[in-house]
Amino acid sequence: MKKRLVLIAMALILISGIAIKPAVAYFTDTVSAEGMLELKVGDGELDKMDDSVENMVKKIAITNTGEFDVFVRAGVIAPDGVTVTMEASDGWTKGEDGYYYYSPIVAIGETSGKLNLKVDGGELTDFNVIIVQEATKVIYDEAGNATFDWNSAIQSQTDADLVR
Amino acid sequence: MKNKIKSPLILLAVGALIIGASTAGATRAAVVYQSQVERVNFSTAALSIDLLEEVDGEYISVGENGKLTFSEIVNDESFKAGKKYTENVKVVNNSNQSTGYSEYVRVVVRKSWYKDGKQTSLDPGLIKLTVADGWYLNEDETTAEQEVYYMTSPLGCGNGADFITGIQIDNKVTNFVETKPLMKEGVEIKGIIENEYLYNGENVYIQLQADAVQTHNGEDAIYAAWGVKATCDAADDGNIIEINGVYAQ
Repeated sequence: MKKRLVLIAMALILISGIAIKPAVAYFTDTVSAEGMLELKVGDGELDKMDDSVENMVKKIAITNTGEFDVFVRAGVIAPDGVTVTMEASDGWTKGEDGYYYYSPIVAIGETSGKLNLKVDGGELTDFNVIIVQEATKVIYDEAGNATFDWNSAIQSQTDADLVR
Repeated sequence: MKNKIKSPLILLAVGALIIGASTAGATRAAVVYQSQVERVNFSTAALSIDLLEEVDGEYISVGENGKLTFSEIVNDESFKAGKKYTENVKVVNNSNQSTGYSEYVRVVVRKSWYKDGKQTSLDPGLIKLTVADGWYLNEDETTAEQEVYYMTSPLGCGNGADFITGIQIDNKVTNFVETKPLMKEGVEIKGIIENEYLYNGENVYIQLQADAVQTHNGEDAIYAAWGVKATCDAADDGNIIEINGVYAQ
């Protein structure tokens, strides 16, 4: 009889033990939100150079036809005896490496300002001047500043027959 | 009859039946308990939390529709690798003002790459979110895809706290590139190569889950709700000093 009472008592303790625990509850709440964005990664793309000559001044503009903002620069290849000097050109500066650099970012679909180059052929009357256009996509650093790496530039060129 | 009752086997069987019956009862009680919790949370709104995202200069609730818009990125021409965009998301204690309950808050950030399904071969670590001050990152719960941030002070009723302030994709995504011959209409164009970027066209997926729990009897509440051992400097409404034994301030 004693054993039976002990068993019943133990069973009651078990039941109350199991029942009490779930009764302990806390106030909680949860909310969530999500979003998705497509990332484009690739090289820049340049349209055919806008290139004209007036009074032996070459006027060059570079258009970004790619999917990324780019920095652009232009190089000039001219025969010996021909001198090329930059005339007033908004945003353009001549670098120590001989390239002409356009400092503003050329956004998608935009065109750079005009680069005006005065060509003096000296004794030559018929010669070629080759313009090389290069673009490199804008890279943003940790602080969000725009930088560039000209080692990964793409380029194209145009020949201009100049006759005095 | 007397002999049967005295038999230890019968007693054992009766004991097992009693325990079995008690377990079944407890299971039923647990179900009732769950539905009560849901009713408390969602019907009475005694304790509540919301996520607000800044869209075009104005904070709007994203808790209802569950969608983040990333307005600054969307307003840019394209989502640019490396560029740090402003993305402001805050958590708000929008509990019933009449109760005035403060709450402990944590935010679980899940991020991954997605294109026709989750891309497990791409690095979620290249998706970088800038988190405001006042949040503790629990390394124990952090993986490449998940970060869990705890606000170490209680968030008062009606108050908000900045959580995310910026988003950036690491420039390293441009390093994963394969050079291939240019193909046009199935024919290889000799002498011309093109770069194929591994992350090009991939979607950045971000999910924010904000959890709140009561500040009364805080340590037990945090443990019961989130499964982490927190140490607070007061039994009620205290600041969280440690999480899983690690200093969290």
